[in-house]
Amino acid sequence: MRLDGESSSSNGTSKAISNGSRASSLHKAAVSNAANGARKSPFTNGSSNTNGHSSSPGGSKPTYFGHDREEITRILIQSLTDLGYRNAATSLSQESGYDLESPAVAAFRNAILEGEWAEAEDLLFGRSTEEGGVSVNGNGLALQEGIDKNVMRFWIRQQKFLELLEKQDTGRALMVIRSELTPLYQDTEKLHFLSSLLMCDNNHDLMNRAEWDGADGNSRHQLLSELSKCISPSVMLPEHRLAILLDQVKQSQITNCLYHNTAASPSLYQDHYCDRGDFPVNNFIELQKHDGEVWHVKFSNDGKKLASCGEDGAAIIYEVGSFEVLQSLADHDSGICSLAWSPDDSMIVTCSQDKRARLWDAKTGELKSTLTAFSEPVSSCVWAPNGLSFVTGHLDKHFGISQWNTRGKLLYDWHANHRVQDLAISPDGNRLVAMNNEHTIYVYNYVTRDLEYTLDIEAKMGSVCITQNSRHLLVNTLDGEARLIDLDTRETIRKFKSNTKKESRVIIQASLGGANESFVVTGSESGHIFIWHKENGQLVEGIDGHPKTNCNSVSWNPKHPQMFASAGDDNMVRM
Amino acid sequence: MGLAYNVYLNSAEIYGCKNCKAHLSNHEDIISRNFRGQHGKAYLFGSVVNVTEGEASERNMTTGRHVVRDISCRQCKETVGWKYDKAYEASEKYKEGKFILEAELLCKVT
Repeated sequence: MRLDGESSSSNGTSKAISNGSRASSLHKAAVSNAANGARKSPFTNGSSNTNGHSSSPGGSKPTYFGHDREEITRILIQSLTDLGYRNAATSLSQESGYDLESPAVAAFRNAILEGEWAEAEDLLFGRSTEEGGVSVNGNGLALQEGIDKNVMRFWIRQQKFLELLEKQDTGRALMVIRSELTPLYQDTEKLHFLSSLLMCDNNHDLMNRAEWDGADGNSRHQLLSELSKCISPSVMLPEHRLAILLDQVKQSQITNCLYHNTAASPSLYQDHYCDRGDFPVNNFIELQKHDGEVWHVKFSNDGKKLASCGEDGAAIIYEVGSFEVLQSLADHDSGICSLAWSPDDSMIVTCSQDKRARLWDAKTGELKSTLTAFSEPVSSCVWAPNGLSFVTGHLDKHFGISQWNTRGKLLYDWHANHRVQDLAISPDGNRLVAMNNEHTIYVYNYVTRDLEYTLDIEAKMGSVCITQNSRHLLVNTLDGEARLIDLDTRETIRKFKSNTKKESRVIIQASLGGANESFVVTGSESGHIFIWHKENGQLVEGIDGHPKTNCNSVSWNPKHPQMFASAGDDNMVRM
Repeated sequence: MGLAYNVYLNSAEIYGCKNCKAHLSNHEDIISRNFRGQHGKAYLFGSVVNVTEGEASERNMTTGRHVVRDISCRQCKETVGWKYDKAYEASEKYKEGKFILEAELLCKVT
């Protein structure tokens, strides 16, 4: 570990010396400027010698494989403290001479946690009285670029105010508002809100209204976190820095791994790379139980059953594994456009072009009820997350969306004045997305049944699907493209293109699948099944699933990421 | 041929298939009402939806020789009229690419 540029006398003796023992060469090393800086004590600890004593200012310190030694050491000290190994942390800081925080920062942290507000402010901004002519950073802690000091002052004083209120010391609290908060010219609404808190009778009310959990709770820690985000990171390290860095590494590895199909978090020991062999690309079973085209296929929520429906008006339930036919629900007069499993997989709703929807018991295959009341084909249905009701969408202009309970009674008419071709509900039960048969998507708030907004996609659409985290919407357009849209910002995040040139005339369903829903999969009119990686938009696989006929719908087994099913116009369901 | 929903039109007066009410065309798309078909009155429309076209055949009609193909409702497969592919006489050229729907086989869909 010695630099070659050192005195040549040490070179002769150094060849027999590995990193472990240094005692013999120390005297000579004390004279020459050894690579790790001059040593104070003649003996090192015999442990790894990559940390030298850096208290001597002279001598260049080697970098740790290109990373700044000080940064690394401080991050390590912070992580050791976070993990609870305090002794290790203190001995590391002693050995390396780096402190996690300078005394000023430690005092600041203490001040906040103890509630010494005046002291905290002074430490933060520098004592303006003593050392006259204070520059912006003065003696205070170095702040990040562009941070408004007044905002930080406001937060500190707000905490002070709330704590005084908690102690029922309204007189002093009022003083604080008048003299300290108001001159800061902050958000006047906030000021009014805080003054209104003076009216609160007791602490519970105060805490509820301000969403503040008291001096004993986490509020001081939270304040500290907020402030530490504003302080320059080299002075006060952002919390859990090492964990954040490792998360980023894992994320980027997962994003780059094309075939990543497991939910398990990749180990840190080696770079993560999934093999194509684990990825489902082979057709291992074909089920040909339908007499007509198969239009829709869906796994049950527990992954144990598979249901398919099609032109012949029958819905067939298979058991995953043996793929025997469990039930055959054949009561519709014309084709079944779509079906939906209830969240507990006990019931299935089928919607068909004979303008009726039917509710079946999934285990016995019995028809529970039939919903008629439509003048146009029922296009799709979704279950509410609580399994007590379901919503059907129809192509009827006035009746668009209706909600029914499990006994077959109409609960609500959503008064959607558009035709609905496909529905999707977010798993958190907040939003219902309806797609009409032209270019528009309507997003409703599921709870209030109000229309939140509409989106115009400039292409005809095939299907919609919402991700498990309820934030993204996958829209399949019939020109060979699928898009991922963020439901909150309404922006198109990603587009997935397949190379089909002509516009598809039939409805093709796209869906999400794989472990963690990391893949977007869709069928196509050419019979190919396209799989894209959801995060980086790359086409992972293009499988010729149904030669020469349409592939209408693909469904991924939610519990076994190694399996998916596709439905095609060749009357087959392939696994 | 896969699941395909009917196309729906948006207008005040829509003509649909008498059998199954599938939308066929708008009142505004009528070009002329001066036609006769096998079942009586027929109208010339500029565009129709939800129809499937049959084989082209050459026919002698009251106005001359034309190449026409029958069109039928996509949903119920009933014939509803025909489409002019080609007209041999110059005065009939305006009909090319347009559709005839017979009034007997239509109904008004609100």
